[in-house]
Amino acid sequence: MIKTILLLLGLILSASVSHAEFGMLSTRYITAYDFQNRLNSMFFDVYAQSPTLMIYGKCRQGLAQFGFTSPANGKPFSQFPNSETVKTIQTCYTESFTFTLAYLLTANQKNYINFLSQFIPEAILQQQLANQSPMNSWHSGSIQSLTPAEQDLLIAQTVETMLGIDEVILSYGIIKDVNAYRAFLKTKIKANQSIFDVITGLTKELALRNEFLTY
Amino acid sequence: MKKLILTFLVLVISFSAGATTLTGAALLNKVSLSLRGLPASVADQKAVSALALAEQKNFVDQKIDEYMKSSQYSEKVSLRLMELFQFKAAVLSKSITSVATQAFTDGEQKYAANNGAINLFRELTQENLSWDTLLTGKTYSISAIGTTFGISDYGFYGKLADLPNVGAGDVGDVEDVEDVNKLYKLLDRRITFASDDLRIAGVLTTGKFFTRYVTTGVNKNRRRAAAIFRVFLCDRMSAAIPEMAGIDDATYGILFPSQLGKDMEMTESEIKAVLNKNDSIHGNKPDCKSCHYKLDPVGRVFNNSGLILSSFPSAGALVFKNSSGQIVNKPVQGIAELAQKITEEPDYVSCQVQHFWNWYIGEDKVLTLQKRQQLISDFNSSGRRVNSFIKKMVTRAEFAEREEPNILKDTARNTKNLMLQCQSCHQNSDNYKGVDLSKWPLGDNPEYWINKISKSLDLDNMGKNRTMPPAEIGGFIPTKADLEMVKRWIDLGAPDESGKLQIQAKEVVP
Repeated sequence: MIKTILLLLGLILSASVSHAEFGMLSTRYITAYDFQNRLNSMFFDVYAQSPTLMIYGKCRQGLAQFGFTSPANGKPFSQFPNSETVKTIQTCYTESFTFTLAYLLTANQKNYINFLSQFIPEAILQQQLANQSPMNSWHSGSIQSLTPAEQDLLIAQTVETMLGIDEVILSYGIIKDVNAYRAFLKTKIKANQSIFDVITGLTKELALRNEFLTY
Repeated sequence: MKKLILTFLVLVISFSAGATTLTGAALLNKVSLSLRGLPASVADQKAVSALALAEQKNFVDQKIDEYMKSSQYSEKVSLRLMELFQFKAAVLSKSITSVATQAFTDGEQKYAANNGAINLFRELTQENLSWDTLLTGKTYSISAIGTTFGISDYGFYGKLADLPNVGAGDVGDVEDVEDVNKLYKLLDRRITFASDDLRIAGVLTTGKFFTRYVTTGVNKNRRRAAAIFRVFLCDRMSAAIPEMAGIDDATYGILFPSQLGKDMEMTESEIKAVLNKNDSIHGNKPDCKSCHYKLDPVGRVFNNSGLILSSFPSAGALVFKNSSGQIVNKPVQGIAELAQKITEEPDYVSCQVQHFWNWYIGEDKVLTLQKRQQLISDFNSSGRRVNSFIKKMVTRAEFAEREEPNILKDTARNTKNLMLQCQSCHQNSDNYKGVDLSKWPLGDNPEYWINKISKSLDLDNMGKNRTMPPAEIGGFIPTKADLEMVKRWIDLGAPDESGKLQIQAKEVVP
């Protein structure tokens, strides 16, 4: 029975993975494959050898809405991104962060730091490391343990990791002032959030932007 | 929910038009995303940004070469091909799904990721082979991995190549995943057939192609022929009789017991009887013949090859009306000769160039005759080598353009694509007295024809009682998404590809 379920699950998963883009849009969306690849590069490269990590269930199934082409007729199921696309991206980020944290907290500290270093500037990271063990405190510790200037740096690096340098962001013509955008993001941070939750929230928000999803 | 919708609107809806020409870091990022699916590294973005404009080109040029050596690039091209061939885009990437595949000891996933066809796709980029290799390749990297249905490359090429004898129990029931993987790895083989072997023709003679386009007593290899016309000559044909997909020969035997023990072929009268369409479909109607005159002779090269490649070549012919209106009729002795002759056709080159254009520049951008000629020249002068040509594509001026989203144009383009499918049937029908659905504005009175389209598709009831495409004719059935899109197109005022409205819009675009 378990084998049958696994096989069925495998078939469902395989049907959910596709390279296809949406219909003939003037906007080039990254594909479900690209999206997975991106998640992998962000979350999993540091411990790629682990056999227990993969793109998680709901995220993977949801990718069907993210530019899935029917193998039967080669046509995309949806010509345009829809609300399911948004939900999928949010789910993927939530799942990835949750599972990654769970894994990293039981794994070694070096991997955890490598992961965090994508978003947290090196100087702040080292300073925090000198003061506390990131294994425990980064998840539970408040963002307020960082000074406002340090928070600015964290936001700047997270934006850069997710969307690119200012020149790239501005080329889309949506954000006209990157400094103002970063300041806007800062207003969304709640005082009682942990550093980890802040990074989770920021990346989830940034992953829904055209600057992340299109080229 | 409200937040979701709002976010969706931010994502999709922007009505401003115009294009931006990308340079520096923005261009590099687009190149990287297009080729690898990953953004350029922040360090590279900063590096190119710091350079003078003249030096940026060299930097991007070097990065293209670097990206093309990555596994992500190879996988992306492979995936494009999997979709082009309408292979199930299953577990696609060795790099990103190796972890996932380990969770399954069944062969399905592994076969999907490691078989002669997929490996051929990968080698196209890894070795910068000629695109023609898809048709003329004689070398395959195969694996002993089989599906739960017993399909494997070992079985497929078993009659033609000297392969180790692998029993069903040898690799199927080993509990330890590591052991299975090691065993499979040991059985990986690279097989090469003689360059004049008439039986071998690139991806056409792979288990993946054969199982994707299964031959039955009804289709008699026409599905395979239709796939060849679609992929290599950009000739889309719609099946005129209901799809028999999923019906294997055993099921067929149950459905048509009179054929049991015979060669599983149906007579035309049996087909008519089964379909209850005496003299209406697949008889002598010109509509049917308009496809069968080309499908049947191409299909014959697959004779004797059910799910396993036959040891003997089978004669057939490449027959079709080319884009110049001339009938091409070239008899061939086997599938290899057919494939070779396809690569010599100007329509083949033109079609392949169109694929690359769609992938790297965009289907929404018109490939003018002049640009097409230039690309054909580039394609040929680069020896039709995949990476060389893709590099030419991503260094074109059009690639550097980023168009802003435009809901009118986007909806129009996708609706036009659907209308082309409708028109492909209507144009072959003597009974059709309407306008050309793919030419806009629709006749002298667009409103009249748009109303007719709306009623034929029964858009008010989401196609519940649609009369077009006729239900009794299988093949093309508009999806819910198709119907929603046409409805939206009409509500937006039936815009053409330039955004010009054909009728009064019900939905006002800000």
